[in-house]
Amino acid sequence: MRIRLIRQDLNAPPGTAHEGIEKRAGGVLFWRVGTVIDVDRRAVQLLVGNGDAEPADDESEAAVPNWRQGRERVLLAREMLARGIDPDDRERFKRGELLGYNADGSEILGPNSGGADDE
Amino acid sequence: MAKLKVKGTVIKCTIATVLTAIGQITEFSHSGAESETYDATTIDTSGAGKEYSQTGYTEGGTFDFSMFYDVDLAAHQALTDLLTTPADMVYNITFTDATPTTSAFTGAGLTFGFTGAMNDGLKADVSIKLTGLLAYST
Repeated sequence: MRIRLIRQDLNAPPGTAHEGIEKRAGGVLFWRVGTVIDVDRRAVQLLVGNGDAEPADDESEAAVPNWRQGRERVLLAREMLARGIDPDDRERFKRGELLGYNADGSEILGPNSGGADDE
Repeated sequence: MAKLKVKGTVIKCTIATVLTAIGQITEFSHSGAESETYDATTIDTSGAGKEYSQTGYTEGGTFDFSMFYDVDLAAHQALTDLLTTPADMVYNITFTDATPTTSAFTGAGLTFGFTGAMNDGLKADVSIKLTGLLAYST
């Protein structure tokens, strides 16, 4: 079964060899967005369900027949997870007031923040 | 020199060669890593101090974390899949430094349990037994 990876922050385990993998800063391996990989049925369910991938053939589509249902919510939750958005800040993220955090813990404000940093 | 915040740290597990984030973790710890030694004291050791030398092996320790357990969350299911189908799994931790630095490790075994209380959300405790060593930053 084939799936297409849709996120740019998906690592590959060290030592994994595949033409869809690129090495980034620090030698860390990442999957390129759009890479299609062969996986088993369980991995289709998990990676598509987690918002990391989409079905790329009929067989994998059949493994997750309702994957489009509530997809926007899944992708938004996945994005907040990747950015480490604190549960208390999730509504602000959804409203575009917060994009994430700097290394010092300060907030990266979004376009709808009005310029206010309430931390 | 910096004090890295924990907020924003991402811990990932592997699903079919794809490392994806484990959500809803509230705390984590790595412990028990130890460069092993043996007692090298002999009857003609000078002084009172006992002597130790290195065996050449290092215990990898465990990586433990607690999380709000979501039975529908894919990454949580990937962890419990290891109970029904034991296998090695590669994990990594992405820290919050500017780079950002990642440290990978392989887990050989998993301890998993969950608890419910009237005044709290459903929580799970996970303990991963490392095989080999965590890839420490150098």
